[in-house]
Amino acid sequence: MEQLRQWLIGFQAIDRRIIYLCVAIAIALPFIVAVRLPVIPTLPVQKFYEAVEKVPKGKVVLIAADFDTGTEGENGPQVQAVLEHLMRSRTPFVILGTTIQGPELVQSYAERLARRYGYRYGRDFVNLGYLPGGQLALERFCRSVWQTKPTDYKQRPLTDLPLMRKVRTARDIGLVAEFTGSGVLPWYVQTFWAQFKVPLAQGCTGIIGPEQFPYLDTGQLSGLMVGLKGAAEYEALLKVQREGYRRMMPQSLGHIAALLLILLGNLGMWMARRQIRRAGI
Amino acid sequence: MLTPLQDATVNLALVAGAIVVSLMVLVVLHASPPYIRRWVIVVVTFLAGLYVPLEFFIPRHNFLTVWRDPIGDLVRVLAGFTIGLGILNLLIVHGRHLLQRTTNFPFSLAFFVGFLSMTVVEFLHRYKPDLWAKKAGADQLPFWTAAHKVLFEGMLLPLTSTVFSLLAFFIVSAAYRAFRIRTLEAGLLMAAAIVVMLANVPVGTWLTSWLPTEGWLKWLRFENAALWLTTQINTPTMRSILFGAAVGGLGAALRIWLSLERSFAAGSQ
Repeated sequence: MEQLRQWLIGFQAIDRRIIYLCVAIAIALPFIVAVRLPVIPTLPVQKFYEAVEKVPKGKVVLIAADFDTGTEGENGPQVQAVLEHLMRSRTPFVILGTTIQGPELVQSYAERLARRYGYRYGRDFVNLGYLPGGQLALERFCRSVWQTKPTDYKQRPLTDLPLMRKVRTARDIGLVAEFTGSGVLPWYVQTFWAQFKVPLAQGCTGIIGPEQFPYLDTGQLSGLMVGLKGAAEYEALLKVQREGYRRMMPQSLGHIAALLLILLGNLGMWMARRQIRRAGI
Repeated sequence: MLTPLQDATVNLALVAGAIVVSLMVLVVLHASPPYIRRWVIVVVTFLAGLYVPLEFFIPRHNFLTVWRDPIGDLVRVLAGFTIGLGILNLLIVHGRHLLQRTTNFPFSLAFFVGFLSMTVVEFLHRYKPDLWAKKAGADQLPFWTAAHKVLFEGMLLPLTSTVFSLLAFFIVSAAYRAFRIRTLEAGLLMAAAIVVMLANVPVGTWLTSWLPTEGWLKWLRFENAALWLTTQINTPTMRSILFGAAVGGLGAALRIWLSLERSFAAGSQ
């Protein structure tokens, strides 16, 4: 019994290398053993889905790619799910980013999906690339798309891109779907939403998720997709299992490993405290 | 107001003129005594800060509105300059390490190799994708586009994702050490964390999937309990934090606008 107690007390100071190993095994396991678990869409993601469904005919969706390769693990599957939804419903879209790498990443997803859905660059989607200047540049973009970005990401003039003929101001945009790992949402709220009443929906990383919920509550956000879970839920609404769902399984076991380790640490601490109390120290 | 010119020669002349004027302004500023420099910063900051609220609060289409677009363009140009400054700074810092052969020498070398190869490949991919290579066939990628894909999608993407993913290991290790239930508050935090963590992965959904989806029992399902915690507990808390931060931001902005921030107003500079 004493040996068991000492063994349990040892859990309050597990070597960090063992912790890393446990996490690595938990994350790697789903790549070896196929695990299938249910994903149930939550209300914020359902609202995002409905916001895309409600985009009026004749208007485009602005994909604001405000992320980079660092958060691609979460934002990537989110954008891919939304792009697939747009292509299924034959909704044209325009890509723009306030980070340098974002539009490049979304372009690669769009090209991959375009082959499957017969989307053509220039006719069904356009990439305007990186827009420096933050909120002031976005405000200018809302008033005049053509003057703010006269060329696309490959310096082709907008006159050569048929889709852009009907995209002149924010009023021609039916929804802004913003994807980010940082707090740039207020820029869009203060420009697209406040000044032009363009509906906004956001896909964000798990870490900034809690900051975005107030905007959903006030109606400034029409939908919200948080982290990889959000992407998996969106895929569930599309009735597909792609990157979001696949990446959820390692994350599932990672969370379980983290919880077990925390519980073990507490168990060790309680046993040590009990021993101290009993000894009357 | 200030519509862009289509004539390339005139544009080039204007750019050259702007560079010359900017250099002259810089030289004059550099040669001026510190108190004059400080006053220039103070006045420019005040006028720039005054423009945006005035234009916003005076009813629409006032005498300031015509300057909105040129100022928007100016901000974009300034943002472009910050990228240039960032690159210049990196080159100076790493160039120094390289020339002085400090202990960080290999990292600086790696920076230069990465920076130069990415810059060259990106420019060629954008403007001359077939340069010094055989012309690509109908179903082939041009040489420099393929090189761009190798560098961007094959190297940069997995490298940065790996660095970001390392956080998972540190977070688990830190949570294991810090998350000890010593008080009631810590216990409540732990309970909320368990619910939210499990609800954010399909395992949690599966664990409580046997509970009904209707009636009061549905709130015991992890995904519903987490949504309640997020929208009913987290949202008002975050809103008050954001409100406090916004008020603080307004105060900081006022201080900067009126040049009361000593560090901003350059102090002895």
